[in-house]
Amino acid sequence: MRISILYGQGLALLALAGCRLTSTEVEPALPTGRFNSSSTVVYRANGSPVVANNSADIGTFIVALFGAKLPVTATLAGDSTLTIRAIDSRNQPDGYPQHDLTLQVSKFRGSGTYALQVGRYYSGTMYQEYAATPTGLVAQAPQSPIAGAVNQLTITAWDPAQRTLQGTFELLAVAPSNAQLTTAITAGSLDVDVE
Amino acid sequence: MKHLYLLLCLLPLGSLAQNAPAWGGGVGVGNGVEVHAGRQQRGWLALARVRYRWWRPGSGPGSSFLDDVNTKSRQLEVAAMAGYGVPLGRTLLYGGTGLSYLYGRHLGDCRYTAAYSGLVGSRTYYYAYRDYQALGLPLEIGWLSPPRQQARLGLAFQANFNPERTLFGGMLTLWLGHFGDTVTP
Repeated sequence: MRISILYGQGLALLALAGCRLTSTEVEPALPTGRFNSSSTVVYRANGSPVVANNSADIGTFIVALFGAKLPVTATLAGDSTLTIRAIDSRNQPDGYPQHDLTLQVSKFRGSGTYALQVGRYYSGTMYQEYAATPTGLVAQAPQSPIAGAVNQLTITAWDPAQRTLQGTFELLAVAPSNAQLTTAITAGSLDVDVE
Repeated sequence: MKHLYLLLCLLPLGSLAQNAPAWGGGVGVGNGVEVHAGRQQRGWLALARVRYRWWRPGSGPGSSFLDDVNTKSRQLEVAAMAGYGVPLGRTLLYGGTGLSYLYGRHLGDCRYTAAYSGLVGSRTYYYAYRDYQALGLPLEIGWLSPPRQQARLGLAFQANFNPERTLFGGMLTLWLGHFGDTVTP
C-alpha cells in the first residue's frame, strides 16, 4: 500500500516536472536613431531585420585608402536627386546573408513624402540580397519596386546646415528576371549624413 | 546521588538530541552560482537550492569570449528536493530529487549585428530568444568532506530535466552548520 502511494507520488512529480508554464518568442527590436553615432539605415526584409551602419577602425581606414566606400552613404546630386545606399556587408558575420538597398528620389526639397524612383536596371531604387551558401555568398537577382505598390520615402527631418537627414521608408520589390523573387521592405528607418 | 539521578534523566534527551534534525546552508560555484540549504534527520534529507546559470552561444556569432551579444542564455532554478545520505567514513554521500521552478531565456538565431568604432572595431550580435517558465525535475548527487569547525566542502553533480532546457553541471559547494553531522557510521 505504502509503496503504491510512493509510486503514485513519484508519477505525479514526473508529470509536474514536464510542465511548461509560459513560453514567449522574443525578436530583438530594431535600433532607433543613429547607431554608434554614425549614419544608420534599418529595415525588415520579408520580416528579417537588417541593420547597416558606419563605423571606423583600423581596417576601414586601410580599405578607405584604396577607395572603399562606407556601408551607408547619402548623396544629393545637383539636380536634387537624393540617393541613399545601405549595405550591411561589414556588419554581417560569415555565413549570413547580406543586403544591399538603394533608395532614390528625385526633386528632393526637404521634409515630405516622396515616391521612390524606379530607374533602369542597376539604377534608381534597388534591392539585392547575397545569399549565404556553403561555398560563399551568391548574389541573387537585383529587385526593383513593383509598380502600384506603396514605394515611398518619408523625410521627417532635414537639416541643410548640418546636412543630416531622418526619415522612414517602405517598398515592395521584385526581380525583373524572376517574378517569384519578391521582397517586402518594411519598418524602414534612416538617420544619415548627406555628402 | 542527586547528580546521578539527573544524569539518568538527561540520558534519553541526549539520545533524542542525536536524532534531532540538523540544519545547514551555504553557497556553491561551478556551472553557475547557487545558494542552498538542507535539513537532515538520520539519513533523510530535505534540500533546497536556488541556482543561476548563464552562458553565451556555443558556436557561431557571439560565441567567442571577446564577442558582445545583446543577451545571454540563462536559467534561474528554485528547487526543493528530498533525498538520503549515507556516511562514507566521516564524509557524506547523498542524493536527492524533487520539483523545481525554472525561469529562463534561451537564445535562438542571430538576427543582425551592429558595428562599433574603435582601434580594432567591434560588433554586437543581436539574437532572437525565448523566455520561458517551467517546472522541472531536479537531481543532485553530492559528496561532503569531513566537518571542520561546522563547515564542509563538497562536490555536487546536478541536473534538471525539464521541457525547455535540460541542464547538467558540477558545483563546488560550501556547507555551514550541522548538515550531515547526525549521519554517523
